[in-house]
Amino acid sequence: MVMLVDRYAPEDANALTTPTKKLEAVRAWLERGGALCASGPPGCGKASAIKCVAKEFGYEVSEWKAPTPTLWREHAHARGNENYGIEYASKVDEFAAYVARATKYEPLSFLKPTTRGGNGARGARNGSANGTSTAKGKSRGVVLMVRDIPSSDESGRARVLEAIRTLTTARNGPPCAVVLTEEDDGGGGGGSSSRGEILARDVRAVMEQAGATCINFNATTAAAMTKTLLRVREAEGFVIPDSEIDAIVQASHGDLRSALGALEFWCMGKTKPDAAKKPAKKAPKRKRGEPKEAPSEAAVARAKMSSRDQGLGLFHALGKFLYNKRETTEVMEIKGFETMDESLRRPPARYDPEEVLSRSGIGAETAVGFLFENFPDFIDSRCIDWVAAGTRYLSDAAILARGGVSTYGFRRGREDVGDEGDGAIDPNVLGEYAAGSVATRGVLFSSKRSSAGFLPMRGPSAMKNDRAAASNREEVRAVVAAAHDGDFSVGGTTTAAAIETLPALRLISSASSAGAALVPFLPARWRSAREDDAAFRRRVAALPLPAAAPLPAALASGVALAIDRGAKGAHAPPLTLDDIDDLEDDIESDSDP
Amino acid sequence: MLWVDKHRPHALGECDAINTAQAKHLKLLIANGDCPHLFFYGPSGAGKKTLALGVLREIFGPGAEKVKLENKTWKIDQNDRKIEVELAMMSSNHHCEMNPSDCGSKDRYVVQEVIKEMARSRPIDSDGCEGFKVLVLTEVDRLSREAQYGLRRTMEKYSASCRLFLIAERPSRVMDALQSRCLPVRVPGPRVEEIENLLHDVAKKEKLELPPELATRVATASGRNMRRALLALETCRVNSYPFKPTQAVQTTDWELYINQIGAEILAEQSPARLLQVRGRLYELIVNCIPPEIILQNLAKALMRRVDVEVKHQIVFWAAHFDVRMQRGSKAIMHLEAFVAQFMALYKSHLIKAFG
Amino acid sequence: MVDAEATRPQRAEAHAPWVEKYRPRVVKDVASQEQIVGVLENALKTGNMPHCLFYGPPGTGKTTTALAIAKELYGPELYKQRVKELNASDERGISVVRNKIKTFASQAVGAPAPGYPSPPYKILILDEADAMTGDAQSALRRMMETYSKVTRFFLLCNYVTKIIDPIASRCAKFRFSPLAQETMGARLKFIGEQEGLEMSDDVFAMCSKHSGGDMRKAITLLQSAARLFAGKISGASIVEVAGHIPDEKIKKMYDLCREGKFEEAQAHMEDILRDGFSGLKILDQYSDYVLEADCSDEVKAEIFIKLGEVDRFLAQGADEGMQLATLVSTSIKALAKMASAA
Repeated sequence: MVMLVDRYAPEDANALTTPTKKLEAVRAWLERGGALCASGPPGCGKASAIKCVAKEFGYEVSEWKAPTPTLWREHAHARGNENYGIEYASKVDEFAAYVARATKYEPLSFLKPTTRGGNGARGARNGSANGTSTAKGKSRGVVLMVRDIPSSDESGRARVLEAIRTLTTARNGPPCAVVLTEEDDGGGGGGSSSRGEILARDVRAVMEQAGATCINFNATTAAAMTKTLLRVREAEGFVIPDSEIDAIVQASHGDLRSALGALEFWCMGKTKPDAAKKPAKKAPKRKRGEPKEAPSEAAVARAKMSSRDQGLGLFHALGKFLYNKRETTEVMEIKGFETMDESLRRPPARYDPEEVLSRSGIGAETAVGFLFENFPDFIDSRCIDWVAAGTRYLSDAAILARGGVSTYGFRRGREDVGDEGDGAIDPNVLGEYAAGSVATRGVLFSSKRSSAGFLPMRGPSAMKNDRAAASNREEVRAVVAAAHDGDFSVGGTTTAAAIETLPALRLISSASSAGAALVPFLPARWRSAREDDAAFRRRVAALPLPAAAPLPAALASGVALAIDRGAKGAHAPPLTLDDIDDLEDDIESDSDP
Repeated sequence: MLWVDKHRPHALGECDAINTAQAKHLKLLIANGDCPHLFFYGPSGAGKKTLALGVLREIFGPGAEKVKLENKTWKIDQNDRKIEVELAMMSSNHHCEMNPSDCGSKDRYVVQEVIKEMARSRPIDSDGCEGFKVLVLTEVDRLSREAQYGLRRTMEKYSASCRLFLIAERPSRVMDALQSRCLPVRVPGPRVEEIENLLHDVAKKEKLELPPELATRVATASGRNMRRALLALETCRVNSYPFKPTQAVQTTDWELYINQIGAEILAEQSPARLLQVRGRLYELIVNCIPPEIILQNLAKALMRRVDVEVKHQIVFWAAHFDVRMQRGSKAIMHLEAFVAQFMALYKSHLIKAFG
Repeated sequence: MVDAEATRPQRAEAHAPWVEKYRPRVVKDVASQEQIVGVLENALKTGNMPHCLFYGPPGTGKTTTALAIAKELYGPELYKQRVKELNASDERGISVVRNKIKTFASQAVGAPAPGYPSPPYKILILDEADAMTGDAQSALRRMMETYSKVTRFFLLCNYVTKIIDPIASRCAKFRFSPLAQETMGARLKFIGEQEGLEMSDDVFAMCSKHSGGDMRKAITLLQSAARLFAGKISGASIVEVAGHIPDEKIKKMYDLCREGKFEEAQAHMEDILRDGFSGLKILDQYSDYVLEADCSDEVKAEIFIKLGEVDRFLAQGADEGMQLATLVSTSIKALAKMASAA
């Protein structure tokens, strides 16, 4: 049985959900020839668009698909016993070979024998997955399409990129398209982006550099998707109310493929008995402007269940909270609102904060950190009371996220909690969830209406400062201990040393040379908030060995310096991550009507 | 050598300016060469440590002052896990001194290990009897509760071989079971008059002419803290001598900084200013000023220039976020939340007052 | 090895806690718990003891009674092998219950000691049983069933509600109540005479007042005072050792609040802290003072709510200065409200 996705794969450009503008761009590329780099979220019709357009122009599409991999283990096993003739060929090797062929051979001859890599000739033509793209009319040639770029380790990656570059720059080769699926796996924050994504980014860069056409597809719009789903419903004779279709559309996050999958799953066995034979009756068209029936909650939940869980980047997620887009519904239309205090009323939020948070995969503590860092930027300069409310919620959330474990001396909680030592925290799932909820909802609530304009986001700097503080505290301790040894007491405790003795010593030593002579030593390895680990280590390494005498840089000129620094905006510098672009895109697409 | 060290009394008999009563009592207490566990408590700069060291000298003689510093690594077997803890400690033949709260959550292992080890190496005293060693633990109020339980267990078990001198600023953070096993010695912060006398004493020993007005001002500014008073006096001395009665008594840099922050908050209440303040709070934290001290000082700086009604609110929010800080890990969030609350309430207060 | 050292006879006999030195050795000497003593004496005569659960506030004679029973039953020699005492100083996780307690409880008993009842069972005394985890208690319960023929369990705790029901139902329960001032005074006087102390008459009243019916605390106070003041004790020395804040300071704090002097009241409160007094102590004494003060019940209620809050936060390690500041602030506001209403 053919799946819906394949059965209703678009035959021509009319059936596509891709906006005309993008289609025109694809057409322009095909006329011009050369390489194309098509990128976009999954299920937005990148490949379909290319196929349809190619068909219009009378091209055939030849797709490189990764061969069923011979696993290294299999290979080793085969080799180990006796040589069965399974040659091990890595995906990278095969890709390279494919590219070499594609650029070397004449287009026509290339079409004939094999479109697949190394391990023997398979079915003569393997146009594409759904087998519909083979042109029936005159064939002007072939379009190469690469959808699956092998991901690999460093060395393999270089080869893949090289192969892509060859493919792009080959002047006499057939037009070729590389389709990159952008996956949002909470990436951007550094370590979390997958290797595949990095590769995709690199591939795009390489192709751009080599002069390829780049087209960025957007996710399928809800309207286009609904249209398609309705069409499929009619053709298949599915019995499913409009409201559920809407729910599927909502839950699919612009992924048509997954929406179709959901529809199929959902309508299993719900076909009208004779629908397969009879052309389905036309569904009564919804009149324009007629109020949409809101999908029932149950429907939404069901639809969510069968739709794909789309990941969300860290910055996307944070943007959703900080920009705080809300529905434009009149507040008063909502039932029960009239009894609510005016200051508490807010239009409905566009997102479910918990869902956004869970999709983004950010832990509550991280979320709280980021929201705290950036929240005040997003508030109108006159509305300090909102900020106050927001910080209060964040303060609550910070505690929930920690499960109430105190960091200072007197830890509480059950006596046996500390058994793990090392300040291990009881995993507190509910606390984590509550923390995320309080933080995100608190921020949404406190910013009342969305602010406009794009603002750069900062990463949380609390950790950095804490590290610096810890390092300095070590230093104070060392000084206290050393001072004892030299029959010189720098104040009883570390705290007393830090807040009473050391400041006084700084004053004394900076007053006059006589004063400086009185002060035997001051902490030398003092670390400032903005110094990162590496820079600090370099500086300390450069210090003369007996760690004595020089004044701590941060406080050498005392208050004046610190205040000066504050005036320049002492908080962390804006992050220069690519994800900020994504954020901009997100905002753009959000503001589309 | 700084005055604060130079003029520190070494024997109990030398405590003639402050804590004289305590010194006298302690001297009687250890008249027979032995003593119970002692618990010294009182504010910073009151002389707890000086008294404790005085008792040591009284019991063991000058030998107790020959100390060496070592960075000791404790290897602890804890249910098939090996834990290593490093801690600096000062020791003589008769005592050793350490601050176990410096090793964070591993403090509980240290207190037990160190006592066990001391019990193993009991010194033999002049009568051929096995003597005891003294373990001086500072900042006991910063010990985790587990460590305090552990301490209680071990101090009973080894009470024959070692005596504990516990030193803490905040007795309410030391559990009752621990306190009740020690003889409590309250060391009050010296009164302003006492500090004045002390300053005059020191001036006389240094052969300096100290105007009484200046002594009073230094003493008042110290907040009943002897160490601060002596350091401040020496700063004055370095800044200008002969002393002038009207000479400025310098405040520490971080206190000035906090006052400055207070002034900035009072001047403008906006998200932008809040972010600016955040940078400065970070600066303070990085310079090892404990967050609760920042909060306390900031609250005071703000209170200085507002109406009583607002003061009540400041006090309320400061206490509120102080509790939060004890429970959460990121002090900055709660500090900033406090600042934001103040900004909001102060602004609305201004609007109400001036329209 | 180390344990052996700990039990070696000590040179510093002079510093042995009086609490131990003057612990009553026989049941009938236990002060002030007449009813309990009566019941237990009868049981002792028959030599048949049930499992027992002693509960009540600290310093009311629970441990003393348990130890005295054991001594009377076995005499000093047999005591060592028949009685095991585990208090909060010992680790008492479930593993201890499984190993140590089980080993002891399962042993068979040997020959009786001449001149003592020496009933054919051992006694296991578990002090501060309410600090045991639920798991450990369940394990204990099974052991009580299994070995009840050869072992009697004496459980001692402050809060009977923290003992799981299956255990509580297997024990004879005895409630110990705080000691009356006269009982306590008589005992203290006895100790004072034995130690050759010079004591003024107000010493006993002061000990009683600052210990709240807790005999251990009272004796510890007396001993601390005796050490610190070299045998010459007055009521004032007890007050000093107890860390008691002079009453006039607390009164002044209240008065300043009543007069609505925010700055002065705060400064005064901080001054008390600078005197080295514990914040909890200030709370205690302030609550006593407010309870008796001449203000309306509403005001008292408001202040007490805050007192409770601050007490909890202090126990959690919050800053004394800032927490007490809110107490002062709340008092001022509450008292001002009352004044304006009048």
